[in-house]
Amino acid sequence: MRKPVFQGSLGQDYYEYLIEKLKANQRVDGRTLDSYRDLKIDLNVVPKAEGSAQVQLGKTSVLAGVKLTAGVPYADTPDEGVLTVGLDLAPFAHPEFQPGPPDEKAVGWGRVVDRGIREGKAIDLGSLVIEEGRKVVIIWLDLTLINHEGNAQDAASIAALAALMSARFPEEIASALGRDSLELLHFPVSVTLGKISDFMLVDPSIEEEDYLDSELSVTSLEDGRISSMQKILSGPLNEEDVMKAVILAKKKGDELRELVLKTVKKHKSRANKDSE
Amino acid sequence: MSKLSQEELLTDDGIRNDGRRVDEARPFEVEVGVLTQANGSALVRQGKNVILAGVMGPYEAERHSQYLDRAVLKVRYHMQPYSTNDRKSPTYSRREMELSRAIREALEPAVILTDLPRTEIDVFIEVLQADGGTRCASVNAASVALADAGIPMKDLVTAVAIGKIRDTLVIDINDLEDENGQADFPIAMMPNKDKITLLQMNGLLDEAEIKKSIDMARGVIGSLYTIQVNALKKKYTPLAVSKEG
Repeated sequence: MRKPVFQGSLGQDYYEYLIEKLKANQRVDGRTLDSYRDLKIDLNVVPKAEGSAQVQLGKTSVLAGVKLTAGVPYADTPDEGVLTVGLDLAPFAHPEFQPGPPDEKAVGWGRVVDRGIREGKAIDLGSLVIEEGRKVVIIWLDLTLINHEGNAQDAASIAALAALMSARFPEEIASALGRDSLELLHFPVSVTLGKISDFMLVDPSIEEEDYLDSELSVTSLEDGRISSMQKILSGPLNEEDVMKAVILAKKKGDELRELVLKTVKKHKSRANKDSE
Repeated sequence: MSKLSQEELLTDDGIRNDGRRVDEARPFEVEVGVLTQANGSALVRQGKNVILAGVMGPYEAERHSQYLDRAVLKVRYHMQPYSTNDRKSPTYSRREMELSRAIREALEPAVILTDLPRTEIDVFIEVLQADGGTRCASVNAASVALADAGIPMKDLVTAVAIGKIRDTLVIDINDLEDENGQADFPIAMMPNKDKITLLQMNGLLDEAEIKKSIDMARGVIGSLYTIQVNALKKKYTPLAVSKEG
């Protein structure tokens, strides 16, 4: 092991300081309980990918790359395209991360992104068939956590949405389908809430993550429906916590989604201008 | 990958497929200290290559892998699935293993390992976009990241790949030139020591061409090295405190 990181590694004093702040509706980094860190979205950062986005949430950084290829559908869904989501923790993103196949943490974050998109029916997989049973569009969505300063979940979710929205089909697929992009039906965004003692806060920083009793990620759509939820860590939640989280996740989700939509729109109009 | 003829790769006027002359290197940019959790880091753009290197350590090595008189240097070169034209499987491949070793051995002579006994230094390299010559760009990123981490070093390590197209030696080959050219000859050097620390060659070259390649590489490496040093200086410029007050 490199630097061992323990739950609550900054000690008891820090915990007490944190609680004192929370009582005054404040966070150690100056935020209120329901505010996110600065969000920055850069599109087309990897031009070799059909779609890509880098999201910086505070100092947490996630890169999403989308490759769109033609391939064989699954035998049980011959009339649907295929969505594959993977998440890789770059070993330099955090001292705790080890190189190698994705661990429990990476798989967990990747799965929440996957379910948010899949269950939210954000992509009409039925519209991605080139030749039924033989040839469909395969969407490879690969996420890389480049720098971990807390709440990798939401950064990954936003990067995924932005990369999918800005992705362009390669020539061969575009002419077969008669359109040049995925044309999302819904826009899922995850909002992660942490619970420390009796306090619920959004977008936990890496220092706060060490002291969380439980964490709940809620993925909402633009129409207010929820497309996936995932509770992690071993602290229990009661019903009021969950309902409070859902309401807050919808509100915050709308704010984050608006920024994603605005960024993609701006990028597309600029791209159109360039191609004229 | 599209097949290109030698004439398409290099015109009669000596212009390459991306518009460069035979002795022209690709644009080279270095950013230092781009990560917060790594002890040192560097982002390198060499042509369309985008490479991120992060150094973790030095930290106490595990008992079974530590040396009493020096540090252990580990290097892992890894390509992201979206970095290439065709999606690459995220699984660590034999090629990545081979390159990791070549990069480690390119860096090792520059690092003063005996200054840090019993420790381990990990260099992690992620290729975010690949465009030929990724091992050279990786060496360039990794040596700056090591310096940023404050690891004692004798020199930086700087690398470039020489290629051969239409029987002509060309500098800093891109993806298409690597794929369709007659030779790929990556070279890394410690510029101030004039020592070669990485040398591989695929293709066909004669004795004179080998000598000429090394001379060409030395010239480019000198200018890439200046860019590496300036990037480090930019981060570590001391506060301007006037003596007079």
